[in-house]
Amino acid sequence: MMNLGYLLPPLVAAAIGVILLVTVLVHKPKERSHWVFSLILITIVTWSLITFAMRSSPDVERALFWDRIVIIFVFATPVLYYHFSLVLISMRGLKSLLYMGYAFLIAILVLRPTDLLVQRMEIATYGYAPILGLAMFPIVAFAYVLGIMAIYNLFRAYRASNEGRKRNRLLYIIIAMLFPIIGATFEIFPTIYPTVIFGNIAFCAFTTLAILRYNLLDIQVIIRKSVFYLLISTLVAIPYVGMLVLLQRFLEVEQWWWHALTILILAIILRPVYSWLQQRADRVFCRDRFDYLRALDRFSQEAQNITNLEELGLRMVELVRGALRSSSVYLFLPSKDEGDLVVVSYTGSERPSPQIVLRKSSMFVKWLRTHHGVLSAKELDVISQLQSLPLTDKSALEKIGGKLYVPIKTRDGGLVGLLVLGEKLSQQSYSDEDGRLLEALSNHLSINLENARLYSDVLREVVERKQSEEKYRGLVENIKLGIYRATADPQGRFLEVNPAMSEILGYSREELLSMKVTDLYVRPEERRQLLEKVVAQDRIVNKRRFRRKDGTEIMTLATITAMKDSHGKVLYFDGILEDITEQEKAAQKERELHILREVDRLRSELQSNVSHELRTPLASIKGFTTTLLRSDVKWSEEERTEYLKIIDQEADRLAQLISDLLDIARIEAGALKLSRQKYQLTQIMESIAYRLANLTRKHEVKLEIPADLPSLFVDEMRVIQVIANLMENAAKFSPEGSEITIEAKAVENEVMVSVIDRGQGIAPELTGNLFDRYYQARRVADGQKSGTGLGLSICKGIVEAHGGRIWVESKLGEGSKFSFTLPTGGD
Amino acid sequence: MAKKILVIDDELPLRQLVKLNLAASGYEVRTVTTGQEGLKLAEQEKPHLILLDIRIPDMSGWEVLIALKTNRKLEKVPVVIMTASPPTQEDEEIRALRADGLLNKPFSVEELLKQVKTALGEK
Repeated sequence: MMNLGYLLPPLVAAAIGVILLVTVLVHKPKERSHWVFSLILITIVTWSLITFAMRSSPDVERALFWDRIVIIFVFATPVLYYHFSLVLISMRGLKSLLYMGYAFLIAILVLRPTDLLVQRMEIATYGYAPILGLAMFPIVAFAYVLGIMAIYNLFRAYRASNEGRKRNRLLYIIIAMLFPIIGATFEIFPTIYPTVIFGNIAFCAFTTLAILRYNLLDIQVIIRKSVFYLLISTLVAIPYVGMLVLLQRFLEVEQWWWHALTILILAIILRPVYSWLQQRADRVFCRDRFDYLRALDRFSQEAQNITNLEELGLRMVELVRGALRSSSVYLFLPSKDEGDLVVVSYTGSERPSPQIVLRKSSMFVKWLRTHHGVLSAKELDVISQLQSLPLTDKSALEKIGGKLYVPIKTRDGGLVGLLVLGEKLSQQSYSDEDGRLLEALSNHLSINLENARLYSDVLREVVERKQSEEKYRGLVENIKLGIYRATADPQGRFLEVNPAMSEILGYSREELLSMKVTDLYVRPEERRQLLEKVVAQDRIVNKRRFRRKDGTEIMTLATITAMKDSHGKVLYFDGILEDITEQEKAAQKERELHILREVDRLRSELQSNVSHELRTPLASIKGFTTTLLRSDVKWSEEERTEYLKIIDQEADRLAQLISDLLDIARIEAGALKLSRQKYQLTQIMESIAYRLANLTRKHEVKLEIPADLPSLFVDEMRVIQVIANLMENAAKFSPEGSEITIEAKAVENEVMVSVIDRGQGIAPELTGNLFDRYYQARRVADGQKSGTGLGLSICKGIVEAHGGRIWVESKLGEGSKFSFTLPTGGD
Repeated sequence: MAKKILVIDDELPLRQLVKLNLAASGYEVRTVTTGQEGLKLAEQEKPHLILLDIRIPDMSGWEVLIALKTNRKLEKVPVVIMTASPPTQEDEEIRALRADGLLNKPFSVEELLKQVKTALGEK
């Protein structure tokens, strides 16, 4: 019974399964395919271990017990195969079959203890042979369906794919899956030796191959490394064991320190051997990478010294060609003026570089700019956005005959170049590994390229600057702008002046350099202020009066810059100075003229306003008078009274207007006479309560006047005029029913009175002119009855005659607050 | 049927004056205070005559006049201008082009009725 050929295979299968499983898990699986594959491996390992337990059972009962467990795992494998095949083809298959598969597993779990599945165990020539129950046959059939469907799925994907690597990968998995299926067939017949375990071993072997050769789960690097470490440990273990054996045989010592000594000696001897081995192993297992790394290393050392773009380009294409063994390599870089990609360097191609231009605006370049990674010629045919490439692009690409396109991008994603690789010398296609190497290489190249480009830019700039310096010198000598450098102390000394400075100021260069800057100032005390400003702001534009040598005053405009050291200390001032005396004069004249015109305009506007305002009440008076005089109509008594009332009111209005105009005339002439007396504000308010009530019939008036307000020393009638005018305005310019507040408070030796309304407010650009003599109130608020435009300027005149001030605070949409101050006292 | 007259003026006494006198002479009178209201009402009511003050709050009377005279539905409606301002050169030009009558404030009722009748073509 203890036959090695019978017991060993499950253990081998388990061991291989475990190694693969660890490799997959160490790789930190992220994708679904990794997980499903791991599940398959776990199942195989468990299956193998339980099989081992079954085969090493002491009696039939025990063997039956284990066999009834192992069948779960046996049938789990086809389900998982099917699942794996679905994942590999991105779930584009029969998903219902998968659900049925899992339901089927549950059924087996339920039926497991009965003899419907495994009836009993018999002892065959090779070991224990399970006799299958009745239910087993449909189950096995379904398992076959699953397995075959899995293979069918993969086969379909194999036929649909035109990518060599993927096809090979799928082929290996199909072969791998066939083995356990064929192996399981022999399991059905108890008389034949059970082969499914070998099938599992073959499955593991083939999937390992697929992984190694065709990048199945992208873990080949890890496997390579594992193999390498295994080799190295073997190479270390052999001399170690050898030495121990020798020591024992010849010296017959077995103390622990001999072990330590051996390790020490080995460590010393094997140290160089180890690194040599590592290099060898790297070469053997990672040859491409090794070559490439060495080449890249050499290239980057050289590239630091290459500042010529063309030379760098040539090195670059040689490097790429050598590392990847391509037949030809082109390097495209953006042209200086248009930015189109043009061939800068090429290698391997027999014919001279054709004039190939990839336009900056072309679809192809745009695509490269927005996508990462390497683009193969095959992909070029598949990517839908590139299907509609214009003919010019297509023919350009065909001319190069590129098989692989490698965009060179800066870290922030800008496209700085393009490498195009021709066919491989071996006529094989480029591997993913090659693609990755190229991506790494292109990252590296982008830095070198940028460096070289910057260097050539700087070089060009230096040349250009030298040329412009020549020109500039002439400019400074001949220009009418004074240019100077002066010390930053309160007096100031010129450190350097240009000829124009002498011309502007009338002093010779030598005189200027020997005198203080303040000697030139019309007001020398202004210098300190200027210093502070320049230091604080670094650069100021400043107008200043200077006195020329001949004594005439000139107006100058200077841009002054403070030159500071790294600690912020001002070293000196650089200035550009212009004589603007003439412009100033012209501007002054222009301003005066403008004011005159404005005054004229306002005067005629006033005349027209006054005339209009005088005519308006007159029109009513004349109109209603002639109405009453109509001979063709007989007016009733009420009508006649009403018309006469209107005539009366309009006559009053006319009188008021005339008195306003007289007030203005007085104020303008400074002839406003005040008869001042001591009054309380409350007193004044009481005396006009009736008039106010009349003015503000449609508004809510609120009085906020403190009782302890000091008494005023004013002309009562004039103050009433001001308050009434402000109240009338407030009522005019705020909606009916809104609140108008009169507020008063003592401020130092004055009383401040405010009239606050909740009207539409006054635009900020208008508040400035509001109290101007000829300002027409109409502009402030359209849609309201207009006055003469004199009210506020009369108020201003009255308040100012009292020695007070009047002003307005207003916010559009919120209302206005007119305030004025009046003097207190009179005792 | 009484002829409809639209009066556009922001001065209450003047509106009253014009309205009661024209009503007494047998016209149907509607009054408004702003140019916008005037244009709106003119479109709705299609008056036979419009009396238009030049100084009205929301827009210049001249603008109203131009708006009326460039409106295809209203261009035939005669407009009499009422103004208290001494006419400027510019005003003269516009008036010469567009208006059908002019009343300088102050005016007598007689003058008013005469202008209205002339503009309506009743005399």
